Formats: sequence, structure tokens, C-alpha cells
Amino acid sequence: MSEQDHDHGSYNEVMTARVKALESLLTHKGLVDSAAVDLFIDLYETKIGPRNGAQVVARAWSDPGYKARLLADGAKAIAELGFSGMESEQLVVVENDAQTHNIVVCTLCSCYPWAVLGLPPTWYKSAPYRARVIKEPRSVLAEFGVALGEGVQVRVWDSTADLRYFVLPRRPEGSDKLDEKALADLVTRDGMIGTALV
Amino acid sequence: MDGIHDMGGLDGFGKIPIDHDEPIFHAAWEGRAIALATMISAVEGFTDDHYRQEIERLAPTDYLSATYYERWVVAMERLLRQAGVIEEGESPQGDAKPLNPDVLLAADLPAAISEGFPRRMPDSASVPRFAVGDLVEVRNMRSPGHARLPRYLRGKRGQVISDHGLFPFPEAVAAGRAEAPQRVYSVLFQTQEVWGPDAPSGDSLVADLWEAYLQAQ
Repeated sequence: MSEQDHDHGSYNEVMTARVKALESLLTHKGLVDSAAVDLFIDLYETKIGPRNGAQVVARAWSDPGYKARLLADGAKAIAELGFSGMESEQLVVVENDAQTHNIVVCTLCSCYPWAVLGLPPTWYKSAPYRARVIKEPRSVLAEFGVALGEGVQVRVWDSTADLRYFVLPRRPEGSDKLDEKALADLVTRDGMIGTALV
Repeated sequence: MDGIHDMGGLDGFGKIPIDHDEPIFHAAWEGRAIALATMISAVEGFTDDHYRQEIERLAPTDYLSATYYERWVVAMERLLRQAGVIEEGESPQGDAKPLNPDVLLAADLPAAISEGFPRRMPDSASVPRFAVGDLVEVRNMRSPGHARLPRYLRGKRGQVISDHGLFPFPEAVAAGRAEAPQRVYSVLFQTQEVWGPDAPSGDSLVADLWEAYLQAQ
């Protein structure tokens, strides 16, 4: 069964029925609270997302002490801003600089730092990204429209264990006068995965 | 296992399906699926290792043609059947049961998400085999079940850049054995070492590897 074999409508109808049947059964057995399921969805659709990570980046750009703490222990530092937990219990922050551009992948599945970026986009979990970025990151970056500066080297981080990875992009030129809120607005989700410069 | 999920470096997958405006969930069932999988894990003690193992057991053509969340649904159904919680084709019978005391309630969910499920284990009693800076080689290891050693790294030589402490060994957990904690190291590999002399010199990659996957060069 695949989205390609049937039109999207009937595929989604089949999956809707399948998941609904499972949820009904588990609820009937007293094994799940549907209100918790509702809330989980609401939290990841509206509250836990890349705006969290953007705040972390903006703070790191503004405060050298915070940046040092962030690079030393990512999970501890993001907790200072109120972000923590699921799929980011052990977080490593890698910093882009003039010599190195970092990019994150999980070639084996879809590991991603939920607490700062929310749920991963489809492309991050796709076979093309997982297969290609670990071997030809520059070709992948070109597809994202990213041109690296002269002499910049690429480092790809494969999230093969329980560590989750998050890129600290370079602070854009000419942003010196911006406050943290304005700085956070400059940061994109892709910049924090490494498929954008910022 | 040397499954299709272990796809780092495979050719032929084509363009990346970039969609800058996609919703978090393409259909409501996707959200319900991932939420359900998270909730039921708290009650039944399923870990990521268990889910991954089931997903990895999909036949290659099924794995590639299923959508991402569909794989989660398949894995969840299989784990629940294996645990004897549900049966194939079962539908609700009789009165609804009262809520199991281990069920995560909506009121408890935000705190549960904020705490997460940290897997790092105390390591004061453990002696690491490798130190930061050590030159290591990835062992030519194959596991019949779930493993976290990508094929593309077998036999490759790199350098330890971090020691992250002790974590349960996924192969043991997925096989239903005790956690068998091992140290996890970040190992830095030069791109040319992994992909050959035509790869850009100076580029590199890092993977996090359990101690069992490594030997001294």
C-alpha cells in the first residue's frame, strides 16, 4: 500500500480507518487516554517547533557566555530557555564558522532534535536525503540553493545513537544592531539542520 | 541487520522532496499515529529500539513504498500483537476497561515531554576503552537483528572526538535482553576515507558509535 499506488484521498481514508480502529481498541482496553493523544498533536502542531531553536540561536549570538554553555552541553543550555526533553535529552550543538559548514542527518531512520525544532519535515526523513547527504552533501546543499564560501569545508553529522544534533548558524553580516527577537526572526528551520546558511 | 533502512550512500534516489510550506501532518491520522505510538510505549515499555527493529523488518519494497508514519503504524501493531495486547482483526468487545494506572494522561503530558526519556546511564564505575583523540577502526560487524552501525562505516578509520558516556546497547534492548550499557563515542571520519579519493578533500563526517563497533587502529 503506498501513496503512489492509490490517489492520496483513498490512501488517507484507509490509513485513517486503520489508525482509528487501533486507537478505539487501545482506548477500550484502557491503555491510552485520547485526550493525551489530542494534546500531543496540538503541542507539536502549535507549540514545539523551530521558533524554540531560533530563540536559542539568537541568545547564543547575543551572549558569548550562553554560547559557550550551549556548545559545552546543549541539553542543559536549552533548558535555561525552557526547552527540554523528548528527543533532545542529550543534545550536541555544532557551530558553523568561516571554515566549516555543518549539516545533520539520520541515515538509519529520522532522529531529530524535537525540543528545539519540533517534528522533522518530510524531506529530512526521505530516502533521497538520508542516502545522499552523507555522501554528497554539496550536491544536496545545491538543491537547497546553498552556495558555500570559498574554502568552506562540510561536516555531516549522522545521528546514529541517542545524541541529537542542532546547528548553530553563523550570525548574518549587518545584524549587529538587532535585538534577540529580531535575530530570532532571521533564523530558519533549515539553518538549524544545515540545509540553509541561516 | 543489513536492511534497506541502512541507506547512507545508496545511489539512485533522485531529488529531495523539498516542500517549504508543508503542514506538520499531511493528514490527521499521521498525528494520531505518532501520538499513539508515544503513549502506548509508556504503558507497554516499548523503546525506540523496539520500534526501529520492527520498521527495519519490513521487506525492502514495503519499507520504501510505505509512507513514514505508515511504518510507525505497522511497527506499533506488530509490537502490540507480539506483546499479546491486541490480536489480528480484533475489535472492541464488552465493556471498556478502566484506565491502566501507567497511562499518560493529558494533564501529565507536558511534563512527560519536558522530562523526555533520557537514556544516558551513570558511568562512574565504567572504564572507557577509548579516549578522545584515539585512532579507531570500525569493526566488520554484522548483527542479525537491530543495530546502529551503518554499512558505509564498516572497516573505516577515524578519530574519537567525544566520549558521551554510557547508553543501553540497542542490539541488546531490541533483542529483549538486559540493557548492556556501553560507551558511545563520536568518531570523525575524513570524507575521502569513507567515500574514496574522488570525494572532496577536507570534508568530513561524524557518527556516534557504541564501543562494541570500534577497535583500535
